[in-house]
Amino acid sequence: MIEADAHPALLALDDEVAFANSIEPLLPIAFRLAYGMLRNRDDAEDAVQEAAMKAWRKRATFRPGAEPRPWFLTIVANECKMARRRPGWVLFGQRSPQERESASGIEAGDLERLRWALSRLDRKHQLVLVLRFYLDLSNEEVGRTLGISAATARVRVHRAIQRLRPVIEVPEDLGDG
Amino acid sequence: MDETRFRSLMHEAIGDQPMQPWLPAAVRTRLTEPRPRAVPGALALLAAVMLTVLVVAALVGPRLLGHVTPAGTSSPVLAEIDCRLPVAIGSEVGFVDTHTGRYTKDQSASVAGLPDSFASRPSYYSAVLKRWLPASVSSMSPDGRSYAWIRLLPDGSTQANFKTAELHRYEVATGTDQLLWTTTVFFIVWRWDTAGILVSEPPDLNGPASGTNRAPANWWLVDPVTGAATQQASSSHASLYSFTPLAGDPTDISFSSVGVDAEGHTIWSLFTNGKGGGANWVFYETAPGQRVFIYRGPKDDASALDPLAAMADSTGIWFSDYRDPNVIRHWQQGTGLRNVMVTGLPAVDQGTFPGAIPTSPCF
Repeated sequence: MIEADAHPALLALDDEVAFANSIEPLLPIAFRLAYGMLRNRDDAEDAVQEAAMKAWRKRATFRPGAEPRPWFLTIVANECKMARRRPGWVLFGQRSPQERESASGIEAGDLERLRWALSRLDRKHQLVLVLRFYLDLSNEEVGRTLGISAATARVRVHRAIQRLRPVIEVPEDLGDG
Repeated sequence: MDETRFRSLMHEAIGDQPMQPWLPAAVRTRLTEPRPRAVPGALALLAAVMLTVLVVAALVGPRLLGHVTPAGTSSPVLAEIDCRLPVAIGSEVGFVDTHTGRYTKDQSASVAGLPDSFASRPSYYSAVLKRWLPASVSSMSPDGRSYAWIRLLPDGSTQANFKTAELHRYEVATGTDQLLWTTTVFFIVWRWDTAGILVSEPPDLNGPASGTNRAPANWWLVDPVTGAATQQASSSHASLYSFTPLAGDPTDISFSSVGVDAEGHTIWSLFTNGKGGGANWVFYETAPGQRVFIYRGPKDDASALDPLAAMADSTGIWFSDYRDPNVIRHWQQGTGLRNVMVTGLPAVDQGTFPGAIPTSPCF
């Protein structure tokens, strides 16, 4: 589920064309993160484009030799936070009955409860769940994206899950791996 | 439920949407061609211009002409303006003492029980009411005691699937909510002044990149007492979402709106994209083509202003600056730009602007 990363050496910072080339491998996962946070294709596409522009403007904050993916995903996540402040933005909007029925193998009740619970999480915990269980990143990668340690990321994942628990039954050790 | 099942549930709950194949090309185009710069979302909520309003003007010539205020200068502290500036930092809100620069979190900030349009969080501090509200400065009444908010129906619906949109007036002190106006189109609030509450359909951000093409098609002025809505000509509000290109403006620019001045003029931030330098401009127009410059100078100059958001009040205009999150900048006509060095800033999540963003007038 994890797309190919750009090699650190390929994150070219000297001109726009080289920069565009080097972040292109990151765009699929960036879009998935944006879609996971915004739940709207148009908004997610806008967020990725804006994030790319901001990444270029903030390129001086990229530490040479560091992994570009967490750095770029951080910017994408922040762009999603910004997008959510615009009028009309709503997280986890309703699905059509047809979409609900097509959720194969999973009871609609669980889906609806999870959507409901996710929609009421604060964005910090929404983000960590999207990173951990939608993008399927490891705790180490989640930590690097959020600028925290893997241990702290694990704690944050736990807290997010705990906030789901009144609504949906999930095991204690979820996300420990 | 095991982890595999929970992951499946997450994927089903969110949905798996593949990236469209054109997106990399769009990103490449935006990176390599001169394009308008997006307005940060925080600004959209905190400032009067509630959506990114971008205009690409077909501008020619090497330099800007006329109507120029000299480039701003900065001093280390702002001593003579002594007030408390409400700010947002990450997910918290508080106040900056403009005399000392000290930031203090407002531990009591809460908007529980107050109706809101889209986000139930403290966004505007009313000095009159001595409390935070889930409103933007643009939706505040002139007396600071009420705010306008939008309700989409049926409850829980979004811009994509709502049936009706209501404009409400909420009087905070009495807790009185008044339905003013109902429509079937989505709209945003631009300002509330003595003339009424100005609303429009959102600008078409996906349309062709020119000011007129992005103009909201329908504008209304809503009476805040009776709710009577009067249709307005789009052209009469063009200064809210576009500015007038002048002969001599450079061609290679990006720009965005960052807020409004005390009279409601949109403040524009521009920079040129040329390699090896370039320029930064921040200005507003008092009339078509009549620019008042807040900053005009080299893009890489140490004193350059690269605003994230602007908040106008009786003292002038406060800016948060991309270049230095530890500084709030203040501009006053005749005095120019000065800095408030902010201390006591909290840590924020990586990727969140770590500085103080002015949200409301200083008091």
